[in-house]
Amino acid sequence: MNNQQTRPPVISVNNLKVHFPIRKGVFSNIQGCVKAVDDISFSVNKGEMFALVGESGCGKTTTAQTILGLTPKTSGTIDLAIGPWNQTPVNWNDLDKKGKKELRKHLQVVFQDPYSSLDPRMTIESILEEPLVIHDYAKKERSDRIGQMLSKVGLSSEYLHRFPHEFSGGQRQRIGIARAFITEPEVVIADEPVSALDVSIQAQIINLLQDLQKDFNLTMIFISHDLAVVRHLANRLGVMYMGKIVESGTEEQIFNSPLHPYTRLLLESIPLPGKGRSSKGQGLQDEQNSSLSAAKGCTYYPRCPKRTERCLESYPDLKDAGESHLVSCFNC
Amino acid sequence: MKKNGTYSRGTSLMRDALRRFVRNRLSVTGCIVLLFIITLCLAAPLLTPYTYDYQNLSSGATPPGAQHLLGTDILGRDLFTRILYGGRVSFAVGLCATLVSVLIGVAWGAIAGWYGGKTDTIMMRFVDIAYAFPFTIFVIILMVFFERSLLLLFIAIGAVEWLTMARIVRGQVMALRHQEFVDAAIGLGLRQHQILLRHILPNIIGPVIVYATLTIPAIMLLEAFLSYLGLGVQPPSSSWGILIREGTESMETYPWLLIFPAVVLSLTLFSLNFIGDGLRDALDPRSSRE
Repeated sequence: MNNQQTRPPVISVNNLKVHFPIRKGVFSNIQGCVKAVDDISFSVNKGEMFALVGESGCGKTTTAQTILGLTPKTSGTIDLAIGPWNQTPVNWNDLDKKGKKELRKHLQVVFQDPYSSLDPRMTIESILEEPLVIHDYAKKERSDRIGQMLSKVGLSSEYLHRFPHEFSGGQRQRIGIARAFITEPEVVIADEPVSALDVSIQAQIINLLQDLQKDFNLTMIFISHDLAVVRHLANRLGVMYMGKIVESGTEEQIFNSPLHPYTRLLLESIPLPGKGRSSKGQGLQDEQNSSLSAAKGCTYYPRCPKRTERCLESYPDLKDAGESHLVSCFNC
Repeated sequence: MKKNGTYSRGTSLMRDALRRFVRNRLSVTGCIVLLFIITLCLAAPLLTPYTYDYQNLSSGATPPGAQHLLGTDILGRDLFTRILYGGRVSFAVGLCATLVSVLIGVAWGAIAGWYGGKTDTIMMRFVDIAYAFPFTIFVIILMVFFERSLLLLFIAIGAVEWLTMARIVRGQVMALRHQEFVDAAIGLGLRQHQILLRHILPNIIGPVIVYATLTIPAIMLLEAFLSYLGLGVQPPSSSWGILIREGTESMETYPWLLIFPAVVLSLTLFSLNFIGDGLRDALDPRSSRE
């Protein structure tokens, strides 16, 4: 770890908030807001695989979209030390059109749904060529790279002139991965890249991503709702709940000594072979609190088995439980 | 985008589409029939000894025969000749006005659907208002203020027919805008107009083509209606719409005056629809019937 401290973290997110206004009525009055991402901070170092885990709607994808510059943030900062900016981090607002384009070359994304993420009217060749055309690669280099990339993701070059609908979900996801990696980005954000695939294919895609990460010495953010998927894959994890990071730490810390009750719940709900679901199901019986409410207490309170009076009064800040293992809970 | 020469995309989709189109018998037949009719219309002076306004009042309406292939109308004008010359007007109006309506409608709908929000509201309310505006009054105003001409007819019809197209396109674009491949394109660094041209337009081409082929016959009939009011093509010129209208009036006594123009118009419309269907299928990679 120490040798990586010489340069700033590749991605550092500080106090990021993304709130979506809710408009109602004839004049579209703002009636409140959804706090999709509410004051989160984390950083990802060079060559690291950082996993963001949490249930649907907890703000993982919004975080990814904001880092990618696809969704505007409400407040906070996202500093990216990528490509030409690797010593002097930038954020999206600092850049002009040209700069943004350059940044995108080094910051790519793999999408969740392999069906809607490929343009149905384009052949595989055009899909893979597009990023290269945008970033001004010469024609010769384009076809070379497309060939190399295809074999890297395990597809035959005879597929080049076919259309996406002729492929299976797993193959389409490989194409999506090839598109993301073809400009040799420094950072790839994988937004639930396997959750739309069936289990046997998931393993293949995860192995592929892992191999590529090593080959390219890549920094990756891997988003998933399934802790089992990121086990052995991620170096560090952040567990999100309703727009906040409730616990973060290394893979070992999270899996071997989880602190936050929500992390424990997630771990317990991983099905184990022979044992069925190991969860005692505690905490799930309560209705999920709406993220619309402006409660000042802990958002996990309604589901928490460890709740106390204190949890209602204020939101617990992240505290260090030792060796950068952060958790936001008063009672653990 | 300027370095288009080396893009393989355009050519491969087009080549693929052409292959599929040629394989579709109905649409190829449609093409041949349509080309045949258009050729006849263009070659009219070579095919008939009469002019479209030549009258032989003494002969009156004569049934089809050796001298007049498809007979003559009440004023003794050769029907075959009038159908050919009328076809020129009908095609010109139908194709040009459709082109105008497609261009305006697609651009308007795509911009409204893509940008959404206030832009969308303003643009679509304008469409709603234009819908409610009485068409005939609009055309009469145009005709009164400007000199009556065929060009004005194109504009008048085109200016009305694009409204539905805009709505169709807007709906399609709104549905596509939230697909992940659009996010992917933004993530790759494409500009908005590039995304519209390279990803959105190719994906809405199906409904656009089908609706355009339906617009052509609608416009041909609209032209007949305007001509009947005296706002369109003026006698002694003719168009298929006018011929059919005249034919309807004397349907019982001189049936050929209705039958022949109607047959030609129907053939044209059938061909256009088959071509439209063929194009839509050919341009959609998913529809291959192999």
